[in-house]
Amino acid sequence: MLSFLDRDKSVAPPGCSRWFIPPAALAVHLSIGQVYAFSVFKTPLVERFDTTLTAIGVVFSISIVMLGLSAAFGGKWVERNGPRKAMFVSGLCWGAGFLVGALGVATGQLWLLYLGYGVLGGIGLGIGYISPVSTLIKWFPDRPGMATGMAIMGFGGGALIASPLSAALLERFGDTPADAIVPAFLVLGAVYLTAMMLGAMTVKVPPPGWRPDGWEPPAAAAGAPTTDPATEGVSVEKAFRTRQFWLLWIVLFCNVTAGIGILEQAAPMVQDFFTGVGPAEAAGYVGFLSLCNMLGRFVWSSTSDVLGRKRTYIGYLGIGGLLYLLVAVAGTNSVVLFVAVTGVILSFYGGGFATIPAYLKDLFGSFNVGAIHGRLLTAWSCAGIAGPLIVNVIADRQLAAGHSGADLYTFSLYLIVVVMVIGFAANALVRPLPKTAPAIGEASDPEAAPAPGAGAPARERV
Amino acid sequence: MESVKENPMEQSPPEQGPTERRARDQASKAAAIFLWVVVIAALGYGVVRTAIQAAALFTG
Repeated sequence: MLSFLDRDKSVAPPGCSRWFIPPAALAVHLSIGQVYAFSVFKTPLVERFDTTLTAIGVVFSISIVMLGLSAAFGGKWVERNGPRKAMFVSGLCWGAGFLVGALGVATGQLWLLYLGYGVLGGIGLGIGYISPVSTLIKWFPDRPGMATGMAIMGFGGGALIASPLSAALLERFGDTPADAIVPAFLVLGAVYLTAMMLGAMTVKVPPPGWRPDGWEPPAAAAGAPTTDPATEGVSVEKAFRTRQFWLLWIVLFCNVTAGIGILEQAAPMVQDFFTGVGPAEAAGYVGFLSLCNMLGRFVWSSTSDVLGRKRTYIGYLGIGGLLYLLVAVAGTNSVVLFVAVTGVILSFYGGGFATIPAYLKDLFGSFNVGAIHGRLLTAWSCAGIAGPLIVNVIADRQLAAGHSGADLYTFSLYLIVVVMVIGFAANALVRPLPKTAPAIGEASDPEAAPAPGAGAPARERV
Repeated sequence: MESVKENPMEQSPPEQGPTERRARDQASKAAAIFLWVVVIAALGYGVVRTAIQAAALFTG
């Protein structure tokens, strides 16, 4: 009955334009990006459950942990079953997460909110995050950075949409925001379910052997031997055992740790740096950083198609590190300088997220790129703990030592510069996989075995 | 093949003619164009609302 979800049923017909695929990817990422706007519900939920901010904050933490786990362990399933089934499952989980969460809120059962939005929703997040990315990489082998930037920009954009939308729903549906949570959850769940199902219905995979007009894979174009792992495609298990995977894990961890530390503390930080900045301006600053984060995902990731992935990360980590140093040394001199510099830093943070799948594709090919990307996202989960910890713990200690204002953050910023240097060094050590390494080739894998007379496996030659 | 015939739920769908296939492709294209409009409108809404909020930083 659900066979229309199978991978072979979602193969594009001849003449299908690849530009019909990005909206399907964006529909999913714009929907799941709502998770970044969960904070809108925090105060109403605290009031509704008569509990602490920490107890409500656990909901977000569970969903992010489940994102990492489902992306890491579900990646192989996503690659095997194709994007249509993956997006369908993701939509069901994400929509059901809101439904179960609403039930928890309506009945006063906090554990149902944990189970719904946290666990179910988190699984939807992980599956929904990786499947559109790997699909777009296969449709745009000539511009993988732009393709992944387009999809992952949607995740950043999702928060920009959900934040004002959720606030409007909470205002409209009840006398107080706490009374409006249940209908707001139900409306959001229905809207996201519809959008994600539309995405699942319209997504397609390229037919075997498809490639863009006039484009040849780099190795084939140069007449090089076809034992290049980036052309052959590397399985997730083999990629997981390479030095390159772990170097990229460190690169992503360092880039995200630095950016998330600033993002999480942005509102209090700008007010501590400049006494004239009030809560309204601080909220505006957070909005500005969100825009930079979203735009950086598309702009820098697309630029990486021209510059090359390694050089782009040299920019993110090298220039980024220098900018953190500038904030630490001269951040208090001018509010314009502070805003501009942190805006660029956050654009690099977003760019780092969006460029990493294309970097993986360059190194390991597109055969299992979704599954490899899923495992690499565990770096995000770890950075989500490390980044805020660095900034918050140090700020608390400085406060206890009698410091105030920008001094609360100076040491954290220097520490973040060190983190960026570590990431820079890891990126510098990344080398392409050896072309003749027998342990890397996928000839023993029937799914990846080269077609007779062809250099690359059929599924890889897209 | 016999068992497939015995169970209509498991039968393969009949081969689609060119007209049906064309109609399905057209519907798929229309859905994709509709989705483009929806995602651009949604993104525009989010960006404009956030830009208005961010303006407080410079005007406040």
